[in-house]
Amino acid sequence: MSVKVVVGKNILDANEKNADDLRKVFHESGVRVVNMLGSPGSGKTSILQKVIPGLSPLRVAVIEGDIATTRDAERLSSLGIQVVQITTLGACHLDASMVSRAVSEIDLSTVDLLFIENVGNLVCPASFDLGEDLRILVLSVAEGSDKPLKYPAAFLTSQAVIINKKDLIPYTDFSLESAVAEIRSMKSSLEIFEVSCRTGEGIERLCGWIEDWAKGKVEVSK
Amino acid sequence: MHELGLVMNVIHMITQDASSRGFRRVKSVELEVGEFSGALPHALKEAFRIAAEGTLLDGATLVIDEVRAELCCKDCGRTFFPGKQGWNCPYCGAGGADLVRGMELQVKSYVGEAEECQSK
Repeated sequence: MSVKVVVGKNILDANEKNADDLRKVFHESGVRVVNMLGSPGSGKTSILQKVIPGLSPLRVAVIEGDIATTRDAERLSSLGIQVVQITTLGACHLDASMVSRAVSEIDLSTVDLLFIENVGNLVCPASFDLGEDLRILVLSVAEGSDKPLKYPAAFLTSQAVIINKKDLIPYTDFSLESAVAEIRSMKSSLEIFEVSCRTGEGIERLCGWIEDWAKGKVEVSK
Repeated sequence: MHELGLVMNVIHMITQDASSRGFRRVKSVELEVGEFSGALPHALKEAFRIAAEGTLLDGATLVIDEVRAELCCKDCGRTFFPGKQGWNCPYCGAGGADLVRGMELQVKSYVGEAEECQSK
């Protein structure tokens, strides 16, 4: 005899539960958490290298997600902060259980702000809640200004977008105007930062905003 | 890209439920997959076929209801599909519409086969 069972559950239910547990741990420890995502080579690590020294009153730690190598963690540990590397060995995104294991290696009582740098990928990380309070997407000029509409989930689930490598605009067909218009047409509340890690343009404003947000002075809409 | 992982979640979820109900096998599974969910229906089906082997779901049919992305204009309230005009409302031109459908990744239902009652 066949019986139909109505389930009505999210396929990512298990991850959502793990993310909620993490969120609770972060809140109880008073740690604000940022999930940074973007394509490989968009400049996520470079932005952290530039931004973290500018957040000096805050105690910062980083969880680095990469498919292979500990290169990014090595780049960041020279900043004298706690860095934990997650090597996913092929997985295209971080999930909440991987972050839980990495968090157990961090003394959260000595941290105010935790950055989780996701695996370079503009698709998969968007679906996985890591218990973060803020999601920042990094889009670089070399990727093209047509990307927002092509990768809607990543933009829709973020609260801020950093357009990096602004110094390259004169050498490309990138239209800052149309990129910003596309982003705004999808989600008008997204905070947009135009940055160049190479020249340092825009870094100060970005640092100021992250610091204000971490201190609860700026609200973001989900 | 991570369809195998998604399918493993589905198999785990349904195996637990089906076992608790005493089903001897699962005949079909129905998923709802949104256009912007990041999961590809054909990749889900292929991954499901392989990952279900040796489980209660071995040989089960995977039915996928594909949900097209749909937007609702914040200004005029009309719904529309994202198209050449991007996400701007084709009726009033406003931007910043809300995505009302298209991110779904749901297990809707499954059909289990119960043990036949033995006649004495």
